[in-house]
Amino acid sequence: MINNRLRAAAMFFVLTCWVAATAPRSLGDAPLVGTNPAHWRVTWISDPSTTATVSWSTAKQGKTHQLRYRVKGKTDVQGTQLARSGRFTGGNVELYYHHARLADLQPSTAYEVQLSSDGNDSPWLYFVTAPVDDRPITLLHGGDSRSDSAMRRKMNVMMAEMVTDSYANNDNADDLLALAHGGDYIVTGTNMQLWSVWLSDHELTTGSDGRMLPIIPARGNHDKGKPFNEVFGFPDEDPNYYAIDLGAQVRLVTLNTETSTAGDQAKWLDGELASSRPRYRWLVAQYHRPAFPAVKGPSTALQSWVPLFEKHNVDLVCEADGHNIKRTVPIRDGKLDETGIVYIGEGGLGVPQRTPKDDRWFLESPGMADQGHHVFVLTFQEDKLHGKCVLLGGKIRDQFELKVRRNFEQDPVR
Amino acid sequence: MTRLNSPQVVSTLEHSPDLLWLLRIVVLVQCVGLAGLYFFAGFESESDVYGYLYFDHGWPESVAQRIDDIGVIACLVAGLWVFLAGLGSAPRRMTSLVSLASLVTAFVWFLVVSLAHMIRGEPFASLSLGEHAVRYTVPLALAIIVVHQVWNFRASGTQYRWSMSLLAIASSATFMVHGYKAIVLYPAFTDLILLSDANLLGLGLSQSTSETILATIGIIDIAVALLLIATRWRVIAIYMAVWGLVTSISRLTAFGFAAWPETLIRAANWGAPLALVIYHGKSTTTVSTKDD
Repeated sequence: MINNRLRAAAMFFVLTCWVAATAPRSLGDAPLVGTNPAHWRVTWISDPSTTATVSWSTAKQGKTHQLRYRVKGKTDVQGTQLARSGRFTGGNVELYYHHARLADLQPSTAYEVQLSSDGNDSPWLYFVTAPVDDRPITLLHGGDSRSDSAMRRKMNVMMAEMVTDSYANNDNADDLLALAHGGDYIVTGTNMQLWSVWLSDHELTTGSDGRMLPIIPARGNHDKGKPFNEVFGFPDEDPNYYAIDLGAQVRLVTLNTETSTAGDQAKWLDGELASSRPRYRWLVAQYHRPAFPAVKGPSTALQSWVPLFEKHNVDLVCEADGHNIKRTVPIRDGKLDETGIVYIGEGGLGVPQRTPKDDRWFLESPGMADQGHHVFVLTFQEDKLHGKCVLLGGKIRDQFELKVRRNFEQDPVR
Repeated sequence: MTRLNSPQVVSTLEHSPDLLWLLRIVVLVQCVGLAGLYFFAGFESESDVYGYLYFDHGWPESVAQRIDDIGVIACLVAGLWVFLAGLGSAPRRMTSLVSLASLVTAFVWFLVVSLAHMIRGEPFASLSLGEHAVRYTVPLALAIIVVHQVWNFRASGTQYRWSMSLLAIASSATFMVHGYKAIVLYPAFTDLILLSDANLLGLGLSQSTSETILATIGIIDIAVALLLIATRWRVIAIYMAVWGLVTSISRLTAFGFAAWPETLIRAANWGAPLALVIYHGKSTTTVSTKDD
């Protein structure tokens, strides 16, 4: 009798361990067959507190593509949004995109969505809109997820877990809002086959509870051609630079290093920063090719944008492209200056890593450079910005803090 | 209008020291630019050869980096050798053999870098073999001329003609690709104009004005590329040499002195057409002398 109970207990224990070990840590890899919705994603390219683009793909063209949505926890469908659909450009792959543009959403609200193509429905997924009030917010930043699907998938699963963990605790400040992606999703931007793999892999950023991680995309040098706009729901000829609010006090400017940096974009940036600086506690920029690179030569951002960042006292700049980890010293006028701007990033969402040239002056202590698959976690608080670089596996490689500028309207001193 | 490659003069171009010197200097300068860009300048990085081996084929990073460095250093040594060997009065056979090997090395490496760039996924990379044609053709053209020193025969007009024909085709290809990129408003070219204006001229050009200028430049580039092949007019080569120099220097005017390797590596952009100008000048002189 006792033996039977022990045996049953042992079996229960083993079964429990097996279930725990094999339970999905993220929700993804939807089969791309017929008009079955797959490649689901949420993109933020305009006010993320009230709008979102929910996108998916189908292998066949289909006829009716729509999205059902409701506030999470409610059973009634709040609305149905027809999708803008089309065939992806690039190669012989037959693949169709569907973008449902949601507007008039409520801030800080979880919305459940179900993607439907010709009666084939996805599971109910959800995402949370950005807040509009002044509260601490946390953002992921990374770049360069090309060339190594296996590592990319691991990074995506890790990010899904990080999102889940951030909401599991009682600390609201660390709740992960979105992923700012600095570009270079795949190696050849005109190859839709590669995009298809990336999109399947990106599904893995969805948590096991169906929570989707919104992406704020920047265009990289490998993301040439039309598919980039088709993947993220930009209009066809969109220049791919824009600015969005993440809460009441954080302004994120996404720039495009793959078009003219010195012309209209610089003019737009100057105006954007001039109007944003007095209104936001935190002013952050992201783009692909670095002005202060850890391995390559500087991009035209150095001439076109850095003077504007310094003129308007941007707080933090996130770069990609180099395939390594870096955090520069604060830089102003081409030298270390405590009032200057820190540049982080360089890209490690799956791409093989380069050895950084850490003897460059702006990477020397208190700056840093290293290599490893990674993502940056940026927490914007009332008095400080806390950043950490998390390696694949969860180890923290670097941490830093930036104090809020003393008077962020005028005074560059922190 | 005088033309290159007039049949009655090529046979008299058996020795042309200033032309040889120009080509030697261009090879040296572009090799220094290559080495600065990929080995020793402040912002040195790795070429696409490294990227091709490491990222596209999964070679160990240290091996890819070593191969990249070896190629660049070999080019630098080759450029220096070719230049210094020219200082000697009567080159020995072994010296000439090393010069030939150096030129072939430079030709091969510039070609490999160009091919690696073409294979990788950058915008317009598929055109790089044409765009960089002058870079790998100048060492090849010089090699064709100096090959006689190895086997102790005199350089003939035929060798010069082949060399100059290669340079004409390469110059035309480079201008053709640049012209195409300009016409489709390649953003980096737009920024060269805008940043050069901001740093140097202060005209306050707008992006649309800059793009209009760029498109015009592109049309001219393609026109001169076609005219060079079709007519071989000397004035075309003169324009290309001047414009090639201006565009090379535009890296400095746009990005500052730190961009010196970008300027030097483009030495063949003006050097190849200038070689045609000199060659053509000699042809004209020879024709005049004969006519007299």
